[in-house]
Amino acid sequence: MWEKQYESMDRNDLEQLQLERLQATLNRAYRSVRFYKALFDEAGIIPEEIKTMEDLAHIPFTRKTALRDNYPYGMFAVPLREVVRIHSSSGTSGKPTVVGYTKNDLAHWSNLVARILVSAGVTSEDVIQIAFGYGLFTGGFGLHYGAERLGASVIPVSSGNTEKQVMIMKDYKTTVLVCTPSYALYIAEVLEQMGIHPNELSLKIGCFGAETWSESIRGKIEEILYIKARDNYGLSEIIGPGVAGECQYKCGMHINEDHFIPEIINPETGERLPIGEKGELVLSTLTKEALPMIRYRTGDITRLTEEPCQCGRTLMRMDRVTGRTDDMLIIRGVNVFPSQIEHVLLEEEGAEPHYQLIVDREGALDILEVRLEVCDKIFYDEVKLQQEFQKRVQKKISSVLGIKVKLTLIEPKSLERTAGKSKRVIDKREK
Amino acid sequence: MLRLKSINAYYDQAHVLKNVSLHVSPKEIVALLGANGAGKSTLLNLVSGLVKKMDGEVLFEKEKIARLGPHKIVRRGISQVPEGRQIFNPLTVLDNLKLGSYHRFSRGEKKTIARDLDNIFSLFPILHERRHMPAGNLSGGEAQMLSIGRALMSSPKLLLMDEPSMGLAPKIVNEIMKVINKLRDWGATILLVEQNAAKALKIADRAYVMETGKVVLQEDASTLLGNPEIVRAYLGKSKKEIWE
Repeated sequence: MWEKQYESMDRNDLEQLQLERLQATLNRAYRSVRFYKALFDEAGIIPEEIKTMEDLAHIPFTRKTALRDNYPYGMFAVPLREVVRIHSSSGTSGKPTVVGYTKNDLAHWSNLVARILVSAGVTSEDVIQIAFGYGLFTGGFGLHYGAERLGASVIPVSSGNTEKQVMIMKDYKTTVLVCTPSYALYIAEVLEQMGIHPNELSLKIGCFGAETWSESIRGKIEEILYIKARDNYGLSEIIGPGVAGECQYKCGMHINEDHFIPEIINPETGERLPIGEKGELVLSTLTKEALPMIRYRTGDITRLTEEPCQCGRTLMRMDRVTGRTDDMLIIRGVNVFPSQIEHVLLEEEGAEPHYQLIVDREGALDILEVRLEVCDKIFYDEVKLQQEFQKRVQKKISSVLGIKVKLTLIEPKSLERTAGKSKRVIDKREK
Repeated sequence: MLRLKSINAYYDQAHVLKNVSLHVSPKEIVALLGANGAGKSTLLNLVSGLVKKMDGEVLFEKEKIARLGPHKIVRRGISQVPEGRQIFNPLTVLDNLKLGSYHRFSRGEKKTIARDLDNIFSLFPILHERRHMPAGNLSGGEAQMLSIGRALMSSPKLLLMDEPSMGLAPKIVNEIMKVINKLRDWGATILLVEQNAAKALKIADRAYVMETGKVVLQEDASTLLGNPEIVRAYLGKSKKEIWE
């Protein structure tokens, strides 16, 4: 463990620490951020009334729109001259969200990322290739400074130029790969094209994050790259990577609870759900100075567990994120998560881990088309075999979702590959 | 060791501590920082049992002590070095020290008291030299040493120190800080209120920054050195001024 005194802290002591830090955060946010003052005043709450962790449930939520409405620096709790780093979202869907860090925030951030790397099995001896984009995106720099803090050798290749990535991976003897799971799959394809066998690489561990992926994708990555694939979780509004990470037991991601308070709510009613139930993850920051976030709705669907973990960490765990409240598709009144479809697809022999969902409307009816890459064997084999495969899988997806689905088989490598987050859903319906 | 949960305290109508939570672990030195009137001394007095108009939970070694009288709290093992020394001027240095162990005489602890006295004289040789002098004749620094010595005579598990450097020359302040460091080596647990933030952060493990009765920051002392939030707390600058 990187910070044993916190990661394996007595739950009682942890709760006291959380309460102290929460109260201090509320005091600072109320004093310094106009948005929070207005939010609290409107709800008739004064920070002094939050006396227990249960009281937190009385505070209204903060949504992503708060960051957009207060673009660019309105949510900062310190003067700009104390902010030493600024990151932001790409702003493809509206105004970008801007996040800032003080010197102290950066120190915490590096430590938290180092914790996550250590729990994934990375040591100071490792050579880490960071294939996350560097720049405004928090992934690259977050992992970079965490890995340096840990004392590993960092190769900041950033994303893209996959053949060069592979060359570096081979020649520089990379032992840890950091990127999105979909990019890891793509790297594997390029390896194959270049005629390099994974045995020729020194790769041992992959730390993957920044998009939702499934247990079956993990299996695929581990199988074709000969590595241990580990999940981690973070979002720039809260801090970036470093919120939670998996340990060697792969039974969920330990949330760094001494810095973040997790809650699970019903995304429709906003009501807090008991631990163990599935719902939307809500996070509050406890140590952030520049950008404190109170009850921030992440939009990510997951579940928490308090059961002790064999690794000795006492921190609560969250399940792999199974979807986002905003990528849930409502098709003919039925809630559909892309992850459900992915799960079915990847159980099939011959299906490649690349697919796309296209939602359209014919008349008044929503239609869902799943485009799936299949292996050469199925695509170029007898028509009869191909038809059988198509029918079988189409039926399976339809029965899992409870709606009729059209499955189209496409040629291997025909879907666009990206070095960042992959776009798997195309919704053509008029909003 | 000490754990406060959501403490509120009042002087008549004035709400002086607002929802303060804090903890001190064994062998830790924790500093309480903040401007005058932030509520630091009130907090110490409250732990000592001197502030009665309050709500919230005060746990010492997992037991509630909020409703106990100050004399009982001393017996539990909490001793305060009060602001402004508060020594008994007409009494001799030795008598002042002995008063600190008053409650232990009846328990038949004469031997351990004598040993503690020796320890205190080894910590402050000057007090030994002046043991038969009236305490009122001591200099400011010596009086502060006496005040600390008196608190130690109760053989406390937790020492509360209220501005031990107040009104002392810089050289003497360094002297007092050295003493606190020495107490750390002895394994003492200390909750320290200090105006001199830089000095306090150098000897403390953790610190809480208070502002108008509220805690606004709790951090490891090493990371707080140079943190602008402390400057804000002392200067009472309450609004951020982004564009200045």
